[in-house]
Amino acid sequence: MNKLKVFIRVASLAMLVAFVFGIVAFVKANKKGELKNLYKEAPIVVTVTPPKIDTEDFSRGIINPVKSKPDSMDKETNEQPKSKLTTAKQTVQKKAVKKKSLMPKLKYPKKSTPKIISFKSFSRGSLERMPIRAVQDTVK
Amino acid sequence: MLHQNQLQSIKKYALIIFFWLPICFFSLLIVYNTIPYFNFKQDFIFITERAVLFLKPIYKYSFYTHIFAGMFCILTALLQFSSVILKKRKAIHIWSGRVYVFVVLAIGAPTGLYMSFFAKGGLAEKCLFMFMAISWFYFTAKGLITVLQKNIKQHKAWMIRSYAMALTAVTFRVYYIILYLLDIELTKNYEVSLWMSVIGNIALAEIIIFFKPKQYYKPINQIV
Repeated sequence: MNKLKVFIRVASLAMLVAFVFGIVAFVKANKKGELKNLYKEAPIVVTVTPPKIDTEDFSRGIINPVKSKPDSMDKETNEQPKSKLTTAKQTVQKKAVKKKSLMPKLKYPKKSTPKIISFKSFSRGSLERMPIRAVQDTVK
Repeated sequence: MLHQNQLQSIKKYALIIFFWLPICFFSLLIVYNTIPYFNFKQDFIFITERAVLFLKPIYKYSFYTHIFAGMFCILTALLQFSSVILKKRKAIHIWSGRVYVFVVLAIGAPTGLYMSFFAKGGLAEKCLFMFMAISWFYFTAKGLITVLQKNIKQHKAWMIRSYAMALTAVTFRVYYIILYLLDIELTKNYEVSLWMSVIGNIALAEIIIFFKPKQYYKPINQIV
């Protein structure tokens, strides 16, 4: 009976310690404003695509010059045709802007995915594989 | 008389098929799904969802300790309510009971209480997780104290309550999947399943305690 009393007291102490630690950690996280971001939906994945360089670019001239475009193309990118030749970096940036405008279509394909329940679904975790939030094409 | 016997055996088999078999199956499934966590990789949905929390060492260690304890708790609890084990192999009941009590009081409930502060959902859900940890601890401790006082009736009642709290892990997952299939939004689904599992299990435990025949609460050696 004495052993039992000691055990229950130790266990109660463990509960008390857990409660105190919990409160301290909770208050700290609350002060830092971390509580709102504890459960983030999805990680942002950034893919890097290198600029294409053709064999023709192996010259002293400007790499990947952009030839004159029809007006409709310029309207899409919301840019005025200031000059007919731009650098490769600028073209890649333009492409990135275009792709960004298409991004909402790529995001969260909600109802299209069928619901698959497996034995692994028997968990407290989210039942849907989290969608990758955005795939951005950038050049470093 | 024969008719009554038949009715009793039908009840017995129905209880096994519709109650104990699903409980055993889902309990073992939880244990089966828990084992892969011990490769300590971070690519589980449960962990990626809580990536920020897993940067805190105390939370991380609490989680692994909690699920490790939980596995033993669920496995040992399955052996506790078998009348065959109680009658023929009482030592199994005693030893698995000791493991269950130790695991709940010393490991499962304290770690659960700590993690409840960062539980998914709003303040109400956090409080619910806290209530679960504290009540699980209290019911189990009462079950232990009463058996040592040889108060078998109370021991059984408290242990039914304790097991009901332990089983919220199972029932939550069942509701979670059912509501998911019913197209309920995931966050809302999580919260509703949580409340349903806790309230439902407590209610069921009280119903079982209330409606069990008096014979059930007698010590096993006194049952003819």
